[in-house]
Amino acid sequence: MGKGALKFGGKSGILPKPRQIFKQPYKHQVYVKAEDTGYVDGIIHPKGTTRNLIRPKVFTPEQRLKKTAAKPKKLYSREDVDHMPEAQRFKIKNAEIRRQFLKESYEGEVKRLEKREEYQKKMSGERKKIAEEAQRLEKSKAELYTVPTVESYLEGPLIKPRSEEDKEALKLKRKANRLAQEMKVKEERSIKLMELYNASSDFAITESKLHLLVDEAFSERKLKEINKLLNISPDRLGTMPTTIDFESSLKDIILGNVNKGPSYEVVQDTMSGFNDEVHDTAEKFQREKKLQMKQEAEKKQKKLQELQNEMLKDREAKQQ
Amino acid sequence: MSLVNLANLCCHLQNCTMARLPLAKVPYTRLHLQIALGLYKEGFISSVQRGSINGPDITAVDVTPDNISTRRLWLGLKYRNNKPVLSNLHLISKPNRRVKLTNEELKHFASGNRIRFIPPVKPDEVVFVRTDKNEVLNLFEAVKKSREGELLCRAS
Repeated sequence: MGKGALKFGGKSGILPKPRQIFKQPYKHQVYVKAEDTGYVDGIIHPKGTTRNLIRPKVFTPEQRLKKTAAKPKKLYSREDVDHMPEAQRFKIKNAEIRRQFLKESYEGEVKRLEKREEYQKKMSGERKKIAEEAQRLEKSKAELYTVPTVESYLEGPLIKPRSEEDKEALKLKRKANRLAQEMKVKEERSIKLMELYNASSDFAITESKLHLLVDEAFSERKLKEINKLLNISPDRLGTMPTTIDFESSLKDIILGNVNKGPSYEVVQDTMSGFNDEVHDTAEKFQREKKLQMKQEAEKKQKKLQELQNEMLKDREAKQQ
Repeated sequence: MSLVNLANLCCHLQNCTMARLPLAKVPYTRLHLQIALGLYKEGFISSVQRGSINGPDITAVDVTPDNISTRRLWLGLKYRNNKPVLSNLHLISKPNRRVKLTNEELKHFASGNRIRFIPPVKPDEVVFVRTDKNEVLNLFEAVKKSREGELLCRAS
């Protein structure tokens, strides 16, 4: 492949990559970094490293010049140089020129960096100024006077938040709804439980009861009833004489009984004292009615007596 | 705020103008209100009113968590020579391809240049930008206020 220009196919005119002249900072920079940063708390940092930022050492152009192109240890006078051979004279002159050029290049670089720093400072200042101006920017009068007031809604919250009272009311409402729902479920369960409890009286829980129920199911009377039902045409069902079962079920409906026992509503009414109240009221009415009837009867009796007396008096008067 | 809803708003307004409707109702949200006000300022719509699903409010009604579902914004649409004033309203930033620009990029875009895949702004177009402060501004306003933000939609 080759070196230098050969790398580029032997073409000249390609400059080497620009390199930084000062790898370390050339002057002191005010830069304070908080200590113990760069690693998350609790994370151990690698051995031989530190959690604090280590700034590179400042290496001034003078120090650099002293190190790389120090002044010769021996200074020759003009006469000494004139007596020297041509090659040595050239060497001394060359070194001097190189030293001079290096110094100039360092100075140039410092100047460039200073200029760049100044420019950056200026730019940041300008940017700050623009930002400040943008902050100060207000609506134009035309905009201010023509934009509808609906824009003011954007300033606060879009939805009016619930007040503490509203929140409390909502909470109570939800609680009431929940309790009502729970109550409904419990009531349904209680109704079913009552039905089961009443029906349990007919359950065959002993052997003797089982025999009794079996006998009853296959008794002559039952069979006759079933046969009667099967023989009758559907049109004439309404004309059938009512059976005892039908009457008892009708009675259950009226009294609110379920499975020959009191239903949940009846139990609830009894327990809450509603039935007692009804009973008391009925008794009270009955007493009042009796009293009223008694009084009416007495009145009638009195009237009858008066009438009889009058008739007697009339008769006596006629006789005289 | 979801951009999907903004996409729906764009589509709905375009459909309404194509059907030559006098009013369009849109859900009452902050982003919709901001966009509606932007369109009003630029003269694309004739009015912005708050209302319910049944129509604009005659008397002011408070927006509460109980009635927010029925609250709507009623936008008056404009027509000129039997042609809609607002004929195009399209999303730029999409849920799967967000376009967030710095202030420098916004300046570049506002100067009539193409940025990334976005075609340059035409003279009759308005671009809405949602800034980092969650306000919706016109592109030129955003540049003036040296803000950065997301390009929401373009109207013409």
